[in-house]
Amino acid sequence: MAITTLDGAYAGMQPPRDLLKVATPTLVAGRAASLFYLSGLPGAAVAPTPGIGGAVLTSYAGQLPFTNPVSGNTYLSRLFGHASIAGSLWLCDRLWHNSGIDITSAVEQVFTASADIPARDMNGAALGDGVFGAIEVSAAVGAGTPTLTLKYTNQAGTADKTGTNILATAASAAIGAFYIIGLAAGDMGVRKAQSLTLSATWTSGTIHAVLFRVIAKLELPLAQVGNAIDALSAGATRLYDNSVPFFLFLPSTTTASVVGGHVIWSQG
Amino acid sequence: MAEIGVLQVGDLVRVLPPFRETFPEIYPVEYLKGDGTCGICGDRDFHPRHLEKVA
Repeated sequence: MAITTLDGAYAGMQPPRDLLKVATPTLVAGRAASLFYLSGLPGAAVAPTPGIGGAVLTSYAGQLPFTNPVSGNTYLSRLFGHASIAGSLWLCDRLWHNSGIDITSAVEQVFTASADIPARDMNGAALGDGVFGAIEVSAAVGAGTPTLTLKYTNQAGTADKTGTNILATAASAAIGAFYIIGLAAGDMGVRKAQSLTLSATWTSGTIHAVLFRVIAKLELPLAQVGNAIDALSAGATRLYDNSVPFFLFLPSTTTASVVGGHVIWSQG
Repeated sequence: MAEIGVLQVGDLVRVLPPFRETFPEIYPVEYLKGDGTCGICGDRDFHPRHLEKVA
């Protein structure tokens, strides 16, 4: 049964799941920073090592805790956040990621044996609607400002579509730098990541391709002042079974920031 | 596709797919790095394999 009333949402509320991390790596105003690898609450994720073909994710140590409902569905019921600088906090579901990318190579690196996303796109299908790609830094990169082209299969099943990083890369980008990949005209999302091509070497460091879905975005317009959205203002967004929630923070300045908050799911 | 060492600062280049959609114009090479990487558009790095010389 789906939750269809506010009473149902209230009755189905689960205990809060907390976030508290210090984003000490150098932030860049307006560039997403993944909090995944930082210590705090939840604990730091270890950089994944599934290989170039990647792994479809149904859980991953370091995610925000998530338990499937005994019956029925899961909805975002409350997202609270605060930070020591203004910015916005994105709650996301991590669907797939890989490793083994040669950061010094300027030729196409095919994600051999890469799989389709699990059935957790915006409609609970494995098609890719609302699923985006990104390149995530898990160990600071070196010199160079390459452009990143992700080849992907789109939500309609059309292969060999390409998109590049929306925000320009930077030399020495710190751990957590999260370069979201734009979509080709007309595309609504990514079903499968196929390959990555760097236009030039990034010299050193470690990067991963990631497929993710944004569940909610929370504006934090004032430093040290919390803000929250609830089931109504978040659009009663559904999370699907085996979700892997994690956070992105879009800072307004480069200042290291304490980012915290909590999430409450409603299930039923 | 250009080879390393062929392009010089000031050469005009066209960016090859899959990067051409993002860089659709013809650009001057603004700097060269020791490994042959070329810089265009202010600070965008490209291996010569992704560029072709126009003039």
